[in-house]
Amino acid sequence: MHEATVARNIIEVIESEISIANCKKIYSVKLRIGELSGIYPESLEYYFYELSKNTILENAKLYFEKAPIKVKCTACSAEFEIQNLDYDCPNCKSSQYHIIGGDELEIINMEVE
Amino acid sequence: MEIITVEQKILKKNDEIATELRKKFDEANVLVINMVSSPGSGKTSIIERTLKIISPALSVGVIEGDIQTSLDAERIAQFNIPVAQIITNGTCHLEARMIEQAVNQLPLKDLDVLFIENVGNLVCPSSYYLGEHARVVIMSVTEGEDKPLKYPAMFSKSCVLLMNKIDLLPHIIFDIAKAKKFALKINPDLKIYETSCYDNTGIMQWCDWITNELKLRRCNSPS
Repeated sequence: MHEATVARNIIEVIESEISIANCKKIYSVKLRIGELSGIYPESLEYYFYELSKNTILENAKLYFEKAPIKVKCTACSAEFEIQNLDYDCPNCKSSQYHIIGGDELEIINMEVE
Repeated sequence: MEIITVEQKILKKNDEIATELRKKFDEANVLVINMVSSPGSGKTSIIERTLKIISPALSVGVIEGDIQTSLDAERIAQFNIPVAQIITNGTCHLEARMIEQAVNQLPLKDLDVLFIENVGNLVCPSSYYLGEHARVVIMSVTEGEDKPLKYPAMFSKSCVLLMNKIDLLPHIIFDIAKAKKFALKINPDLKIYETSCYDNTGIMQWCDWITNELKLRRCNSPS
């Protein structure tokens, strides 16, 4: 739901990076997006396309790496990936866990010239 | 063509500002509570009931986040306490840079407690750290018991859950035991209070949590 802000932040972070990298063109950006982050990739692509016009990122393609929901069981400390939060620990069947991953919003790398 | 490793958080600027804000809050010795919920679950009403009990014994300030209006800030201003309004003009969450501007309108050093009433939304605000000491999620019983599993990021990052509008239970189908089970499933450390702004159920206990939290922070604070 907050894709516009996220798109703006991607551009800001990369613009601060390219002053170091000193590149002329950016062809693509690879993102790590957690399944709990509330980000809809198609919507992010739309805002990124619009907001990156007249920047070094104009026409750059976004690639997405999905980060799964990861939890740690409070009873046996087992860490596992989970699709449905209604499930119990596959190791000890405990019903409670802490969420330790899945809300990532990260820039992994970019393809530049 | 070459690939340059970036490995940066997209919201790193927000996190940097929030970390600075947290330092500012700690220096001012003020307990900052970020109130989050879906629209209409009772954030403003909870703050009003809380003010009736803890103010003026404690000096309280409020930052009101709203997509479009200043109606909530006007309600809080009636308590004659410092209020700063943020109108986001459509943005679905508060960001640290907005809080940075709002705190400049408040006498931070004179405050004991600062409430930040976030925009009503259980998704987006969960990604934005505002420098707060505690995130408190409010869920009203009319919303359905499955909310913690549908919006796990928000519930797992909160330390208190206020299960509000509890007075409506006799009139609706809502399995409160199931709701608590779902909330504790993804956040076993969550402290849960059943509250009502209609008959004040649980408000005193919630206020006790605030005053206790304030005491704990000040005992551990070097200043």
